[in-house]
Amino acid sequence: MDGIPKFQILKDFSGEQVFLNIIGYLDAHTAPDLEIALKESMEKGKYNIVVDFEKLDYISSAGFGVFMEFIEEIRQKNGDIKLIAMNSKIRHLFNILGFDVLFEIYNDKNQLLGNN
Amino acid sequence: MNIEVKPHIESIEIASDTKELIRLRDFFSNFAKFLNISEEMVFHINLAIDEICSNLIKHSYKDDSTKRILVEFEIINNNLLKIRIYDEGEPFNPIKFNTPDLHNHITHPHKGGLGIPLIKLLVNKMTYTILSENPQKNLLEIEFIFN
Repeated sequence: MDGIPKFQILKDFSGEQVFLNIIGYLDAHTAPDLEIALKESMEKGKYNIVVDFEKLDYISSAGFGVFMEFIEEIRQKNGDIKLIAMNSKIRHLFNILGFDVLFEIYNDKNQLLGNN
Repeated sequence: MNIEVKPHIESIEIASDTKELIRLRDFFSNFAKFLNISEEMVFHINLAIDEICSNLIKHSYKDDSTKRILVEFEIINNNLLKIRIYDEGEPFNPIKFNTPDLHNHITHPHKGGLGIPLIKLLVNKMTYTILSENPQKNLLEIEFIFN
């Protein structure tokens, strides 16, 4: 159908940091796929995860819930979920919810890597 | 001279299935082109209706995709948007539902319970009515003021 965005998660497990690129939208229907991707990373023993929001147009509480579900366990394993390249609407939503204090949020990969 | 302005009402019916949420949001995004509201406001309104319908699908209808949800959009005076969400499931009034506030999520991150606080943050007004019981018909109406 024209005009309806697709959804996909591109996963890169090749390096020290796992990169998950979420394309499209994270709602109650698609959030389980993010859950699967995070679980997959954890099963591989990889707890340093970067989620790239560059191609993400929309997120609902189902999407936020996935991050909340895993963040404590990941941090207990000395890992983290870092978030990059959010559009202004999604960034603002994180602010409204107060979740910008819970996660490290970067403008892009360069800013993220510059901080390591 | 009195000009009678007819209300501008559009509606969409979706099946009780999370795969329909994108169609609902797409419908509103198109409808919003006739309103003079910011992209951010469209996003917030879509988020509110998404959260409400997600709750209905999961809790009121227990993911029964044969059930239906009707969403009606009414613009009044070019600055008030009323959205009415009708369902026939187990009554669920988000206004009365007590959820821990968002601070609790920051100190104790966990999966669920974000939807209702989020809806309350986004809407200007919300009312819940049980229209009938045999057959069950419930109405959640939310309002957004713009311009």
